[in-house]
Amino acid sequence: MSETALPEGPRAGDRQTTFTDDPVKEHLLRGLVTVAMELSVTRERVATLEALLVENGVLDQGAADAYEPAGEDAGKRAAEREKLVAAILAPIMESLARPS
Amino acid sequence: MGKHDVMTPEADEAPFGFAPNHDEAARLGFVGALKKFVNFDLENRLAALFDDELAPAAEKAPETRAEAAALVEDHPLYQLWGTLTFHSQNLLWDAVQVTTDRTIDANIAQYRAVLESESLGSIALSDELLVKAPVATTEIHRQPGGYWREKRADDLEAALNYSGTVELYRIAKGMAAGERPAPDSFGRFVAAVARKYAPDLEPGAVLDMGCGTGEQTLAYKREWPGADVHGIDVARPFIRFAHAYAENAGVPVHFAEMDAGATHFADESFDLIVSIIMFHETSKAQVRDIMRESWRLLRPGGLVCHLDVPYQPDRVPLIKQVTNHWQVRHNGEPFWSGFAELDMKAEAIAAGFDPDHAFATYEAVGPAAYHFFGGRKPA
Repeated sequence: MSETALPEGPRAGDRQTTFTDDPVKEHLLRGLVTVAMELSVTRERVATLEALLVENGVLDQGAADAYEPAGEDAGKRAAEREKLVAAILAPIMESLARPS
Repeated sequence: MGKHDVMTPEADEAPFGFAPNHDEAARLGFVGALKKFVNFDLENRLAALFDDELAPAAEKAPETRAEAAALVEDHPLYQLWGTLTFHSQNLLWDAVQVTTDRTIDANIAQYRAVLESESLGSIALSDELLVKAPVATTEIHRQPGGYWREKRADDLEAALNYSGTVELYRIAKGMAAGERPAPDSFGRFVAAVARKYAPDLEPGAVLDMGCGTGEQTLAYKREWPGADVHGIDVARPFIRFAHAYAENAGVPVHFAEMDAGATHFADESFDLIVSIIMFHETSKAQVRDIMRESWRLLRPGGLVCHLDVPYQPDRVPLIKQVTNHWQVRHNGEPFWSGFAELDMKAEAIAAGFDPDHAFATYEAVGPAAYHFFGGRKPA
């Protein structure tokens, strides 16, 4: 069968329809739900990895909860946290601080 | 090794069909939880708002769906319900597509292997079949590509994506409490209702109209092992999927690409004719064709027992009629309200069933109820 002979299916529907008078805020809400979904997936992945590590005798139960980062590792994590906070909030701060 | 074997999702022994890996399953689980919240918590809150505030404050008490819609449409809670319902459906199709893209080649290879091996049942595709509206023209449930788009030779994509939503649908409708139901639980439900309505009937031939991906069709062969069981659908990717699925399950069923309103079977070919949520994806004209065809194909003493959604207006509060009607415009369900407004007992009688043996009823399965309609042909 040639590629051109393949049935195309119905006309593609609209996936961007919005229902409020502020489409930007509406898409932000949808984005938040999508991010929450990915967070949920990541949490489940981490829980699975921990369960497998315990099952296979690599970790003791609760070892991850009891772990305290130290030294260079702790400093690196703190820097990553602060970078993420600034990446999200700094542009908003700058745009609001700019004279209108 | 613990109780969970560490296996790659691409393992050679991967089963035929929709098989999400860990993260894909987690994503679908989240979409199910989101839909359950929207369908229950949010929709119930909206109903309470309508009943307790909006309707009592109206100048004239709403009596029709249109009057109720006018009261609620501008309310932010209704708009929130709309955007979350819409977005949850986007997420649903995006989520299943990931699994389908990852497994499509392996599934097509398995389908071809089934075609080349000796089969228990059969598959018949038709180049003459003309797919009719709304399936022809609408992405039903907003499934990208609809039911019948094909992107590659021997394509199964539409069927894999659809199949991936079935378990999630159960979660979203609150039907997933307790044990995970069998993949053919809807078919078993229809078989149980058929037994209740015709206890003396031991069908020698069963037809499942609009069988889709065929998982439910297998229930009829399991229920009546001596019967010849046939499944028909207009969507070719679904018929391919159904055939490979049945063969892999070791259940002999005959699948054909065919229109339920104009089949190629001879008069009085079947003792039991069933369908599951097919009618609301047709049209008024097709409902009449399919009911007439059901009567023509039924043997004396046989039973026609169709299942569809239970949203007939006399059973549904006005606010639920409004949210249901939203599906027409925004969820690829052009005949959702049109079907609900039909009197299916009257349609059965118009198709040839006599009034004493035609029926339109409701039967419960867990927390859900479904509309059943059809009739018996006197022996």
